Amino acid sequence: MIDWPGPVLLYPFGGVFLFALGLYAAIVRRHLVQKVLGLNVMGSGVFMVLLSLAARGQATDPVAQALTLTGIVVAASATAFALALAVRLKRVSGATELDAPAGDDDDPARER
Amino acid sequence: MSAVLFVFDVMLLVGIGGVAWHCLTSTDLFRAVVLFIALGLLLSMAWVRLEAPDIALAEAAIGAGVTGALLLITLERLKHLEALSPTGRDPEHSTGSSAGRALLSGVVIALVGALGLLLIRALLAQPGQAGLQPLVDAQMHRSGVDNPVTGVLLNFRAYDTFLELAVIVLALLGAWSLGRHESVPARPVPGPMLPGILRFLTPVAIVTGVYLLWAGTHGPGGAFQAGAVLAAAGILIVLGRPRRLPIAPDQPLRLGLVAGVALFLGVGVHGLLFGPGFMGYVEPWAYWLILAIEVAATLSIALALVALFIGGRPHEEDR
Amino acid sequence: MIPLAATSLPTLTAGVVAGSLLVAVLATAFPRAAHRIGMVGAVLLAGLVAVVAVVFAGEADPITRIALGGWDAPLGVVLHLDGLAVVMLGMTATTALAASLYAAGYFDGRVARRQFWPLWLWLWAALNLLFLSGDAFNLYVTLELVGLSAVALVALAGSAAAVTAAMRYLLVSLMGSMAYLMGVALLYGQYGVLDLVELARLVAADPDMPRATLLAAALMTAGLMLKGALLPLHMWLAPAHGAAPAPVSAVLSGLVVAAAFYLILRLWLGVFAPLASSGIDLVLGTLGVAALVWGSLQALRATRLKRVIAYSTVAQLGYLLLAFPLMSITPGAWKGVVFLAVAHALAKGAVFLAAGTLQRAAGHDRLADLGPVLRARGLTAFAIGLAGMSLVGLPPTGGFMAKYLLLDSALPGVVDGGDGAGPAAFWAVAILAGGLLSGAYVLRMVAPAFHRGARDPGQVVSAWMVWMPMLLALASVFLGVVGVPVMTTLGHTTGGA
Repeated sequence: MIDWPGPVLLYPFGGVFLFALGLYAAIVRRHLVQKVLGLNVMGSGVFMVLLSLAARGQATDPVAQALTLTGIVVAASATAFALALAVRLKRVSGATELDAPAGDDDDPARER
Repeated sequence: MSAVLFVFDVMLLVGIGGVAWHCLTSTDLFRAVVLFIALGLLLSMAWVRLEAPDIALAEAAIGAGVTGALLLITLERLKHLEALSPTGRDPEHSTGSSAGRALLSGVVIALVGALGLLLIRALLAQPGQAGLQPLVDAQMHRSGVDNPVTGVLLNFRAYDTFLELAVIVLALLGAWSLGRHESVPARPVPGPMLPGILRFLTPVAIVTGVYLLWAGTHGPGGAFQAGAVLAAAGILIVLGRPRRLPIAPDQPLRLGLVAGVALFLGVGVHGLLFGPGFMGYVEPWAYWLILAIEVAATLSIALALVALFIGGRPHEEDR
Repeated sequence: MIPLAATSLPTLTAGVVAGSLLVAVLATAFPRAAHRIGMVGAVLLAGLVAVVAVVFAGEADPITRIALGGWDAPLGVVLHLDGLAVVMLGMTATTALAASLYAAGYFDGRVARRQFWPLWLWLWAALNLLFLSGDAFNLYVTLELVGLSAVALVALAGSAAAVTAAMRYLLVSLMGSMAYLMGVALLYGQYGVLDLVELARLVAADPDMPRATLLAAALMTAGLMLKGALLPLHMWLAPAHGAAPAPVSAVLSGLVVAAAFYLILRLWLGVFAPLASSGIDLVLGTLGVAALVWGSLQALRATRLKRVIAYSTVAQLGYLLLAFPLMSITPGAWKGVVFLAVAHALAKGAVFLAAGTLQRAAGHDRLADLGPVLRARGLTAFAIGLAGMSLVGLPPTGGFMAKYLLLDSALPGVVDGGDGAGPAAFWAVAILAGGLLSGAYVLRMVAPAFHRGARDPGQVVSAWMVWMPMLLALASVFLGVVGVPVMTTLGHTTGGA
């Protein structure tokens, strides 16, 4: 039982802050790992908003909890794949940052 | 007591905000990753304050633990690749900014700030309470378990959980499709402390994982948390013997990875033929079916997460 | 004998879901046999979808909802089969079948095959699940499945360009997912349900429009526009296409981005229908026209064949955005747009597969030097030409029918006069001008086939790679013939007029 309605009033602010901060980092930071961190923080922001909305009732809404759990697992899986892709990119091109999309003259795809 | 809790909440939120800020604005990647792990643990506490212990466990195990381990090993691999073929770009530090970047930063800050304000206004205008809890409570006696979160995850909205397992397998398939496993030269393990700690922690992690799995049906816990803790045990084993990776035979490994999804699908079709419908359980057997699915899922999750940590696909895959 | 009783639609739909997933799981468990599982599975799955379409068309009240696990909405997740879903499933099945058989010839290396087929079958399964889902959060999970598999398939080509494009696509896709998820959180917090039909009912019944709903609409639409490469959020598409393997490009352009658009349409036909106002329509419509013009101009400038086709996709997706302003003139306009999406999937699929054949044969895809191969491979050139006719909108192709339907929706606005006449005329002119521009870049692609010059068939390619583009091109023409049944099917859609 939550003694005082604090979590419901305070935590949404935290969630929004994390979402906004994560979005900023995902767009502005250049290193791929930093972008991935930003996206994760964005996700945590969404979960904080969802759970604080869920905490309005007697006990925290179990469906919202289930959604958050699914979201955490999906975000972690996507992060794992993104990191593997970043390592692959480094191996293949030596880059750890994305430059502006190339024009027409990037090397033609080699046929496997 | 509420004054104390109020102060605690404020401090926790300020801490979360501060750690997140430093994590995302840091130019040293290692520092950023460590701060990210710390952020995960602070978020875990926040979920406890929001009365969501299942989620707190998941955040600590998956969000902070496994994701943190993956981030650290990624940094290690990037550094190794940089050493092999130097490009002059330091993998551990991101490049500084220029005037163009400053303008982009400004625009994004403005947009993001506006979005944040809109969100706050929307959230403050939300009604007192809405949710599906009454419906869940009304049907819990038919779900076969006592923990309402497990009831939702593995019975009422089992389809979502099933697809979630598919996402994990798919992430691994994607990572494996990128290339074969290339081992990073092992660093010498310093002193007698680390192997001793690893030897102690691994059995503890395994026991904790199995407990979480069993406890999930009537308390906080469940397949995902258990799978992540078992994966942590697996990662500890991998770290403890970097030169001799535990290599699983090819076909059994694949079968273990799809065990969770396959069993879930099988039970789902069984429900279509004999039960209340696709992805449903014949009611008297609900508890046992859920437990069976959770066991298979835990195995698959643990294998997948350890495989994601090890990196590329095993060499036997290509024979 | 296929039973045509009313009870068979729920079973058939569950069969599509279970079947797609079963094929994907089998391919994952047995990668060495994955290509065989994939080819057989593709044929069986396409056949099953065809049966669903036929049974659906034969029913008087065919809209089917399946409460998964026996738990009805709003507690459980509900699958929703209506006309729009059936048409999307059919489009996916046709394109994916052709691309699967093509891929059997394209990927002949042992290692490549084992990696390609499981990912591919997961993508197809995820698309099917997305079109059938009726739950806002479940759609998020299916979107992630689609996104991850599509990215992995793009990166499969292995080159630096492919991996870079894949990384960009992944980051954009994840950002879109997060925006979408925040929208779902807002909606759940406001209304306490996740089922789309329930949400639509609650939003429509609400006397005032809560800020949360407005913001959710904006966030979810923006997130889906990112995933669908709709201007101005389209920058990731062209590099991804240029570098991805040909069958992947075909499905990416035709199906994956169409899935994102489908979701935007589904949301705006249902949950956010009360929010539609002329302001938003005009903005989206203008973005659509901008995409049409910009994409076509880029297609005229590009020097490589796959890039031309990729920019053509950006342009054709602009037509999809025109749905919104047209819907305020004629409520049923969305059906024409869906028809266009289907025609585009088939035609674009054919063109990409044919381009892949040419690239494999010639070893490159520089337009300037493809002349000899085009002249020697008449069947492939003909496939591009035929599919190009659909892209331009010449009768009797599906593209023609779609453009006709779009113009038919715009004209009442012009004829009625008044304030709406100006914008309506603008949309009509844009639709026609788009056809002209498409004609220009289609001609760029096939013109060398008509010149005199050397003929050189290049490398030997598999028979699948020669015939599948032709099959899809014929399908895109055939679509014009079966237009009426398709439109009738679309009539049975929840929320559609």
